Amino acid sequence: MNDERIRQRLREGDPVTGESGLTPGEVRAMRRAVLTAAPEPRRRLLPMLALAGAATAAVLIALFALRPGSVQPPAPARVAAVPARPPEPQAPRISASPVAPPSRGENKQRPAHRRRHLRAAPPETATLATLEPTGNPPEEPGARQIQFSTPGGTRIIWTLTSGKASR
Amino acid sequence: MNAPLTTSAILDTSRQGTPERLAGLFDAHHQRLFRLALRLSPDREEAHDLVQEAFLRAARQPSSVPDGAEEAWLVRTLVNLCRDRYRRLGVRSRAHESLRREEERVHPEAAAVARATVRAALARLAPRRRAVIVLHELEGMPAREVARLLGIAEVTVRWHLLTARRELARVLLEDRR
Repeated sequence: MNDERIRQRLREGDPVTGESGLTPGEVRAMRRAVLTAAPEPRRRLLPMLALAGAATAAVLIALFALRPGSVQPPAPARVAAVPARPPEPQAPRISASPVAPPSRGENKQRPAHRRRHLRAAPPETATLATLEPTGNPPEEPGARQIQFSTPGGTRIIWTLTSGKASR
Repeated sequence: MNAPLTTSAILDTSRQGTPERLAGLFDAHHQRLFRLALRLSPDREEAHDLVQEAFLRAARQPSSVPDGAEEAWLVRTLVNLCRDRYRRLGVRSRAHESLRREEERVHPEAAAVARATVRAALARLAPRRRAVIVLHELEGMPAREVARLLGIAEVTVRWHLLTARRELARVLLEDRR
């Protein structure tokens, strides 16, 4: 039996001959089964997207909370009662008290309770004003002296006597 | 009878989402795959199951179906499914012989007898060899195209053709006696 005869026999008995193929009902059922088995990408992606969003939010919150610039030092107190400390030799010091008259001559007519302005070296810190204790405590009991120094170097001294504030 | 192997519709659907691509694959290839399955399997029910299983594999792993070579992938999957079933049926020749006898009894016409004879003869071949002889002799594909579809070398296709013809000649001569 040669090749041509075999081919002829095969075509005579081709299993497809007389077959009508899949019926429309079979096609519909098979198509539905196949498409039902297909994974749905949206449902697969949804949890992943939610997880990625949550992770991103957590990272952003952590970065914001741990950023070095976000931790600011506490602002210095602008006015505070500071205990007395030893006098500084270089800083000009004025001790004005009602009991101690001013030492310079141009200030002789000024009352002791008046505010005095002295130009001093600017402080190192950029605080608006600092309170420094006077080197000479008031001699009169009940008198109290408060000194301010502004960032520009101006020093302000208040003297409080006998429970009454005077400027 | 034979549908074109590659269609522009498939290339278009390959760029769509998975369900749309799968629907395009099914619509373009299900009839042709069913004809091939009818030639490779002993009966219509098994052909139906083979086609459905091939498409189900494409549905479960859509990324394994290469773009532009969808039909070759489907044909290879179908042939592999045939091989799996062939291996599972240890008594395949006797089963197919009994099937042929049953079909001859139910349909005694000459055409039916011829179909049963050819089907039984094809069933004696190994699945890949059966696929090669079916694609070449019954579907009229050149050996190069058969090699491309099955993912094997062309020389292997020619060797399968030679061997399959010898086996078929022997079986068909035995059937004449």
